[in-house]
Amino acid sequence: MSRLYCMGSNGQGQLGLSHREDIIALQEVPLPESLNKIKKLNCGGNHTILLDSNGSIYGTGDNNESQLGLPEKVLAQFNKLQCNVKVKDIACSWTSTLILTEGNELLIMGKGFKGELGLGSGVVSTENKWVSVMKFKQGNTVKLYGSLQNFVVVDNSLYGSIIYGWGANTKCQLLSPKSRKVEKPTVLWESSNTTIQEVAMGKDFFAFIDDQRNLVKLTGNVPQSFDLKNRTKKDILGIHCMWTSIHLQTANQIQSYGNNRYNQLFDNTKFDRDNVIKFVAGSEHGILVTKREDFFEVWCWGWAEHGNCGILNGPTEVQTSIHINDQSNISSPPNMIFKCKKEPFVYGGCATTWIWV
Amino acid sequence: MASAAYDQIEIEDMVFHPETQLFTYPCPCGDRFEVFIDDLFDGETRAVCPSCSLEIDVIFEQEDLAEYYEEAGVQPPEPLAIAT
Ligand SMILES: [Zn+2]
Repeated sequence: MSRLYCMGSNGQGQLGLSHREDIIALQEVPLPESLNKIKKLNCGGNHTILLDSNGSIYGTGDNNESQLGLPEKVLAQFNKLQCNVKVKDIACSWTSTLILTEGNELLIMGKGFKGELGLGSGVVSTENKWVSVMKFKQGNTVKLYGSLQNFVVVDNSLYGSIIYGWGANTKCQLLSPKSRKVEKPTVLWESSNTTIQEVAMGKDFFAFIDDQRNLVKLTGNVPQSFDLKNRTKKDILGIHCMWTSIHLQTANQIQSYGNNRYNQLFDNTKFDRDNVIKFVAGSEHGILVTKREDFFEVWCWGWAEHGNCGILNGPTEVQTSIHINDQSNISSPPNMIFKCKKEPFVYGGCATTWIWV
Repeated sequence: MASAAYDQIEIEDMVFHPETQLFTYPCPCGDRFEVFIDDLFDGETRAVCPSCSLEIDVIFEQEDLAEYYEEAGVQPPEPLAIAT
């Protein structure tokens, strides 16, 4: 059984805290008893999906577009989603939910006007049911990635990597030349000798990393300051994108490129730790984990208007009372929000911050 | 003077809702930036989010609005001057 903590934007109950207030200090999320160990957490604009180690999925938040497939329009607590097969992976677009079943079939539910449902010409809604998008060979390792108006799926087999994508293509984020949308899964790239390990998705630009830590492909409206030439060395420990910026973890630093209106670009001069072990990016904020002696620290930075980077120099324990966002931290420098003994998992949604142990 | 926009978004990347006559685009807070088509016609370029302080600049030419007026089945406030 996992324990899940969160804070930030909560206008549609996406934090699953039984209320709809934005909060600025970590609170523990009440979880259904049937939920096993959390395997993955993913957020759309206003909905949150959990995948557990039993292959069950749970959701909370906005269901106005049937992105959760439950009878209620809005939920403020995690509920088990209806799905009669075991689920291996999940990803969200702005208002849809994509799942990979045990049988390597992709199913989608929700709404999307930019082709992100992948169901062909003019289909913008699935109504209240899972609809099949495509199927992969049994035995292949398939991984899902979502951004606001796109999905990318990596299909790895003994014969190499194939990357599929669909959704908006106005910035050539999928294919050249540009088009308004790509409404069916389309092969973006394939290779018999390179295995894609990670896809980092910004708002309209994507980066593809292989298992040797090379940046092998970069598409779309990439932040202008990002220089690919200096970045093809095998020095990328991690890569993640906010909507309008790109961030690399290299030799214990975070190197950031792009929009810095709200301190989104990581300021290494305001950070005195030297053992960053991983980081993730939310819509316009980042979350990193460091290891110090025998404990771990979680830090946030960037656009923090919804309380999602915590109280500046505030508590580093989970709070039992609700701390409603007081807008005291809008543009956050690196700010420590949590300490623990066991390595935590972290995830950033749309101005939401998630930690589970 | 309005503060600098968080981002610039081309009108073709927004979603037009004929029933409300609003253009919308996702905001990183989870809500949506929105602006009325008639306001764009009248020269407005900002779309605002009702849930936070962020704003975007909408990139468009007035003649781009013609297809959306047609989709909504309504006439623009004044005839569109379309360059030929
Ligand atoms: Zn907003």
